[in-house]
Amino acid sequence: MPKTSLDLLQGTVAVLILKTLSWGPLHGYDISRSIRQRSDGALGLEDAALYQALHRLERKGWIEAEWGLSENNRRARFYRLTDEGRRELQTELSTWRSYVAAVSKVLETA
Amino acid sequence: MPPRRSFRFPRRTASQVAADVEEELAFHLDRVAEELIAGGWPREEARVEARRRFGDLEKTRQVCRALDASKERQMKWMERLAELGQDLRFAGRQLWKSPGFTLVAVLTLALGIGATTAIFSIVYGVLLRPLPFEQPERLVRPYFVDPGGQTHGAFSPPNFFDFRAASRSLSDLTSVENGTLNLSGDGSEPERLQAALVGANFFKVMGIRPLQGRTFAPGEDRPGAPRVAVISEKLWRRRFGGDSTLLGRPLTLDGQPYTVVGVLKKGVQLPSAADV
Repeated sequence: MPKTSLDLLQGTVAVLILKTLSWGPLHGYDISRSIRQRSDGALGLEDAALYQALHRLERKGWIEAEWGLSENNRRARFYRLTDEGRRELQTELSTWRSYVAAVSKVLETA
Repeated sequence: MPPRRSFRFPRRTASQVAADVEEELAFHLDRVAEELIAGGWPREEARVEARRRFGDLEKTRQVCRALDASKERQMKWMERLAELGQDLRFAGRQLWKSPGFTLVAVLTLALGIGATTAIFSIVYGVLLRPLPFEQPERLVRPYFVDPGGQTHGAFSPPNFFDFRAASRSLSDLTSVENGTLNLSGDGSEPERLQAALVGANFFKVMGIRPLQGRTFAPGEDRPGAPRVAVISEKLWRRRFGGDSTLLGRPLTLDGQPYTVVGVLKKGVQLPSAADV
């Protein structure tokens, strides 16, 4: 398990979680694994930050939590995207794209 | 995959919130430890390593608890509002279903509120509203009893002056006589006005200050003194258009020349609705 390779900005953690949950409900452990795997290990999100972000997003009403059974039959807290969270994800994605485009434009010009 | 929530959970208490956070974090740490053990770590060391990788566990615990508790409070309020909305809609439907009952109820309320308001307005105006004078609680109206046992509210001028001179329980005594006067001679149509003939100290005793100009000076009620008048704001605005140069101008009342010296503020009425 590689240690954090890239430090993540707080807003970025939120949009990563929202994106991960857009495929379906997951518990915290699987969210953590999913983000790490999809970034090929480049994004090692610290678990402490992940859980704080999860509860913050729940407080905002973008995600909902519910107890369910995990694959190994243990009680786990599953998070699910709310409709509001789905809208927020769309907004964040377009913001992110224009941000990346703008930064690249500046950096890539010789 | 957990089913979508289709019924309402009772809201959690603070200790339940704490227990939930604890269980959620324990689940995560256990899974990480299992992963490490599967990778060949010894059991105890795997547990320690899982904790180390997690980061600041205690801070996370506290942040999560605080966030969840505030979420619970928010949900509680939203549920209460939703329940209130349901109750109101239910009440509305019930009322709509029995229009006769609704009509009677609404009429009863309307009449009840109307009657109460009307009676209160009268009682307030007649009994409760303080007199528009300074220190109204110190104001009295004297009566006298003649040798035959008759009570009189009106004093003859000699009686009034004797009474004022002999009184020690009152700080001052003034006189007022109500009547009507004809206003004429200012170019407009003559008009009959409610008037009060008062002693020069009347305004001082009542604590009334004028809106414009002055009230009466001592001695202006003696025979032979120049005739002066204080008019109400209502008359001032109605007949003279609120003209501030009116002060000092002559006014003919009952054919006698008077000089206007002051205007009284609206609301401060002489004993009756007098204009002069």
